[in-house]
Amino acid sequence: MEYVLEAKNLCKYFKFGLRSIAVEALKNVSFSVPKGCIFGLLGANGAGKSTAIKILLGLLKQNSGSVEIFSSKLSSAVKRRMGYLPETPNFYGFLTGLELVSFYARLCGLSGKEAHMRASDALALVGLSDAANRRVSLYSKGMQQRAGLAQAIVHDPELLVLDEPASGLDPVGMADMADIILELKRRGKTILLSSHMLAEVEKLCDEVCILSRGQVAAMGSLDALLNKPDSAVLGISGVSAQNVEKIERYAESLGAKIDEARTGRESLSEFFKSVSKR
Amino acid sequence: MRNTLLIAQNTFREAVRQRLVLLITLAALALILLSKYLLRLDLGHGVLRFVSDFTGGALSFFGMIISVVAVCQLTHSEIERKTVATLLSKPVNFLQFTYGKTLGVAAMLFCFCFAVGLSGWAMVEYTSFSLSHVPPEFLSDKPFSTSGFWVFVLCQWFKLCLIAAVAEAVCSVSSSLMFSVTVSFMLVAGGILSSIDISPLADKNIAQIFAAVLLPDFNFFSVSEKYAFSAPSYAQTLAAGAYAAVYFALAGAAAAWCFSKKSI
Repeated sequence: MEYVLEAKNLCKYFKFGLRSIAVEALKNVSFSVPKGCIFGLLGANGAGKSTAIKILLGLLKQNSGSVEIFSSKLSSAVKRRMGYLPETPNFYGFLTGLELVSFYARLCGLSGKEAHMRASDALALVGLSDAANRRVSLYSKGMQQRAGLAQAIVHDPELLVLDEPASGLDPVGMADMADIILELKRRGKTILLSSHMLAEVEKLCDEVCILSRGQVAAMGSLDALLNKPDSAVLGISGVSAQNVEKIERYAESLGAKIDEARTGRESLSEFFKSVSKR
Repeated sequence: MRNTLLIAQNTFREAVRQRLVLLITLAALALILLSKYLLRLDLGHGVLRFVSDFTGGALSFFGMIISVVAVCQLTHSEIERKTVATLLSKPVNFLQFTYGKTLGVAAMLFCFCFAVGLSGWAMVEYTSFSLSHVPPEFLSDKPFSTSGFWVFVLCQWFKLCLIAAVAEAVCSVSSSLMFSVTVSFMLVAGGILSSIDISPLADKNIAQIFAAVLLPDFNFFSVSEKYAFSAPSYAQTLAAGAYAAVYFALAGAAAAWCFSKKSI
């Protein structure tokens, strides 16, 4: 199997205060991201996800361990093949969406004309064509997140690093972001995303690495980690209210348990998506 | 180089939008335009010389404030908003980042010096015209040299670029805007005081040697103050430009190294 990114035994600690007390942010963290997969880097707040991502991007130097991307050390050539969406992206408010994405495209080596064209395409993919000539300072939070994704993909990178891509988005925005990520995967991109929105991660990711207090707590494909072959979960629809009790009794006779039985009610998330207009 | 110029262009666009820069520029222009009417403050200069020196003072004083504040504000806002992380995730290194930021401010300072210089020159020409009826023997000024005046403005721009590079180096080791601004002004003041001391290096103590070597020597630029009323020395102007360029390059490299050690 071809791996796009390999992190081996990453260790990082920060020293604070006059007594230089060391706080260990990462301890022997190793993971590998296969080509063409959506890889989730999960963990609670403070688990070390952002620290790991900063090390991958060269924004922080690890105390020990190594990172190889496309089988080589981080360099300008490697960075040209990567795109990064920061957590809570902030951009130059005085630029329009098109100017902003073009600026980052030109930094990646695209010529002025090509950068402009690719920026338009990237903004169209993330649904910001109508707002391309509006200043970024006038964008909503969701629009800024989309602009962040546009600048990450404008130069057609092979590897995308998305730090909390659904951060600050409403349910409709989250669903749109998930669709875009799946489209990018369909186009052959490898995606490393860090998140603590587990429901969305479960829908998108092929493999995950779960960090806890700076260490790898679990890693592998979602099927391998979550499947319990000795049990099955059934979802039954079209049951009339009178038959619910009969089904509950039958399930109990077989040693099973009904976790939830609700009548005639859709979830707030589904209802929100159906009534929200874009 | 291309990425450095892209960052410089972006920084210039951001710098000229800063309200403080616009306010200070307007204050400098207003003072120059009123200089003819502030002649009562004159300490014995000729009329034209007073107006020209007023322009020089405005360039130096207001330019120094803009240099320090603009660089510190622009650099710290990049770090606080974390736009620097997005920038450095592209094929951009710390050297390109620091040179790009400082070059962008240098471009803004060029516009400032040109605007102030133009208004100063216009004021001198207007004052000269208004004195055209006065017989020359009653005027204490030497003839005004336009080329000398603009060479002087150019030297002031070199000086302000050097100050901007010092401020960038301070920002690279500082985590607070106030600290950066305060220490930058202190270093500039130290450079001015050190420049006043023209004794040989052998006669200085360690602290004075340290200051003389590390702090900028503004004597390179102060010689241009007399150019408005005498022939400019192009050799001295080139020397001033070269000194500012070398200092700019070294300060930028030091800033890049310090940024690379910082936790962003």
